[in-house]
Amino acid sequence: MKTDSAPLDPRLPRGGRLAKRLAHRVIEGQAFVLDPTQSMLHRLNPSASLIWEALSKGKAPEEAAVLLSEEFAVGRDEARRDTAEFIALLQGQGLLEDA
Amino acid sequence: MRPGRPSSLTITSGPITVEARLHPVPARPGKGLDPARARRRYQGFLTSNQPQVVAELTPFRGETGAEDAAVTGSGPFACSAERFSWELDGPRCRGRLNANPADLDSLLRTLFAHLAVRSNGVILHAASLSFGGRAHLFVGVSGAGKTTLSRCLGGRTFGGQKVATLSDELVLLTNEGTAASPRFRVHSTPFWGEFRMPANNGSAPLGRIFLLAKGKAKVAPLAAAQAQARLLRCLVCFERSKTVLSSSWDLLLAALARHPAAELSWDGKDAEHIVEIMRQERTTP
Repeated sequence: MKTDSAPLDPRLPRGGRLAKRLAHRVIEGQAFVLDPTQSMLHRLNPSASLIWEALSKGKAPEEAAVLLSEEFAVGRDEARRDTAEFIALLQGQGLLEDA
Repeated sequence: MRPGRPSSLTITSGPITVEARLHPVPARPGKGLDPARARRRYQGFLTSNQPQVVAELTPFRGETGAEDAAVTGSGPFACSAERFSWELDGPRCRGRLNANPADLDSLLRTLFAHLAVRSNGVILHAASLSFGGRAHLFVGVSGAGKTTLSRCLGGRTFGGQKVATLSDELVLLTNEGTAASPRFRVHSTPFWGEFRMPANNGSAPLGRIFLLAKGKAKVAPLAAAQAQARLLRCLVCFERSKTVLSSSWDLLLAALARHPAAELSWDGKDAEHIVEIMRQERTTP
């Protein structure tokens, strides 16, 4: 495992914001995302909820990865990978739009 | 129906009142939706009160839009579905639909669901039994047991108290208070499921919220996150507006904050046990 001071994972997206059409709430630490265009409720797991909440507050993916690393006691590199994967998932489902 | 003239019926549920003017098929007087049949279907919900919306409904043949109904716009509003559509501009609504009772019912459901949000309410897939002055919600998707429960208990008397069915399928839940100090009330709606007893227009303050599950009769507490996720799945909402969806969502969350939900397992037997559960709620300070 790389150290926490490892260089930024090149796969980690630098931009993107949550699509404006989405309604979302965090309840008991769990994020729920409602997509009105698909009548779809996305229920996020705790780590994804933390990343989501960070992004919804306008934090950069790198900052979300740092929070994830601290909150879940995982290495910074692993946190970046998880963040990148989650963001890719959001992009794949059209839940992110360009910054 | 007099040739060329629409037949009118005014339907109400809680704070919502809609006058539906059923027009005959253009150029074919006497053809169209059967007003007598519509009156029979919505009897118990007909009123002479002033409607908040007048809907001019004209039959047509064919398809109007996508399979799933969707309400768009921010005033005027438009709803498009496979077999009907409507546009709502203030108190005036113009609709087109295939001339059969099921499509009239679908159109009215979407219109009432839209007006519910304006009335600080939501429509939910839920049965509701009124007992001891409280309306208990039994929330669940199709097949969850709403109709069975209503059929088992509705109209029966337990310990001198009658169980009244407000609905076996769809209820209107409104907040009659404020956001800071909510007071929730459950209203029957003219939209029922398989329950064929004549439905009546009634309402009562919200009691408990039960999420239905299959199994031996028991009640289990539900975490708020889990409860709201399951409740959201039973929200009847066709809106594509984030603002409207968010307000419906917040109303449900406020209801759960005041009336914590529980999971009610029931296998269709021992209906008295359900009454005992409702009775316990009534005696809770």
